[in-house]
Amino acid sequence: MKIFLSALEGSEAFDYINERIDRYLYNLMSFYYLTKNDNYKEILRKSEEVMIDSGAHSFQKGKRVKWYEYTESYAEWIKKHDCDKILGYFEMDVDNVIGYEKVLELRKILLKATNKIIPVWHKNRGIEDYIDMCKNYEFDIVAISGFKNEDIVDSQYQRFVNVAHKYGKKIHGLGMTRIDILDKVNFDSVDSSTWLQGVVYGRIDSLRFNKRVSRRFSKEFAKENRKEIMYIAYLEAMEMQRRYLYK
Amino acid sequence: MKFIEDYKIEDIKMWENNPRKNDEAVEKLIPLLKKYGVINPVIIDQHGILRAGHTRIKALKKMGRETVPALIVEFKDEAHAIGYSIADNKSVEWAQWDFKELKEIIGELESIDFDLEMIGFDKDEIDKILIYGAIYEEDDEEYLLENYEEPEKPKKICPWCGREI
Repeated sequence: MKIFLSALEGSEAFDYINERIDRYLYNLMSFYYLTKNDNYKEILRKSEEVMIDSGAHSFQKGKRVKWYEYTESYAEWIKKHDCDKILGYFEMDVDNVIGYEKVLELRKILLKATNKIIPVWHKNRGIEDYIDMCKNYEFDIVAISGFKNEDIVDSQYQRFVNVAHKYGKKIHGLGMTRIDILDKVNFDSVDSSTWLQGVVYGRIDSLRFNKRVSRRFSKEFAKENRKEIMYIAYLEAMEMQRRYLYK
Repeated sequence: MKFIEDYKIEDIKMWENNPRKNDEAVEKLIPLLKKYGVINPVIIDQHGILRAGHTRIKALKKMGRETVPALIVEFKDEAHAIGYSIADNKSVEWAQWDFKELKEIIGELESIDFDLEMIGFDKDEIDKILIYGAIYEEDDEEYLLENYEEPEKPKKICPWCGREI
């Protein structure tokens, strides 16, 4: 299972981390941040594989959003930068804001740029739509949400994965980083920003004997050594990537 | 650590509290042991207690075998011996199959008429791997169509007024 680490491109410690790591494994970058800085160039150059998220959920926060314009610029970026290292691009899965019909229209815009558009199933689309996506969608990666109690109850994840595999699809768990689920369910890939979230709360998460353990820091220490802590947290997350690669 | 090629099975003390339930596995293992023999030695501690290989020993007893290759290991104490025994069983679960790769390999074995019942998967599983490159339950799709459970976000209750937020 490949774990794609997210949020590196927008991290305040990007330069500090990037100077110290020669090769990354798998990174997930958000189109929203790709327009804000050039960090993606280094990440793309040094990563084994990359996935790109639409960033739609970051983009919409507290704003009136021009969805078509945003999607057009996402498609333009894809046309310019697509390469073999980029496994796929997540669609604009903002069903909860504009509804599935419009999401499908946005998907069409993206599909003009590449066929590597990853559909992200949400419960509002109905379970028949999930089966149909696994059977008939033309690209070989599909995605479901891994956030607890968002679209899928924990006990049914494996069933979803099985159906995807039955139809030859690889399945990505968006934001799925719960160890108890990762150990039981054979997703092909997932993504995680928990390396960064831990730092926000003054801790570094590590995986020891398949259990997540945290090292906590005092506020003062965390403030003075913030970038170093982020760097160590990223290294720990890479260790987790290596560990799960063979699961 | 000492290797004994012909350790007497009747001298082995089984670990009575072994938490692994292996009776079904014993039946599956017998034909494989007949085909390949015991290639992997069992682990016995300094007191003659079996620490890894319970399924093999049960199967060999059923087959009427009197000896087994064994490694005698001196554990620091009983806790270490038990810890090892659990870890030995658990670590097998860590690795996962690359079913696409496995499909290729099984396909090659099939092409040379190798007896596919001798690779540990049952016939139904082999069919699924060869056809779909995956093992899935036949009824997963139907199951989801009929039993998909829409999760409910846990309600947030205001700690002050007790109302739902």
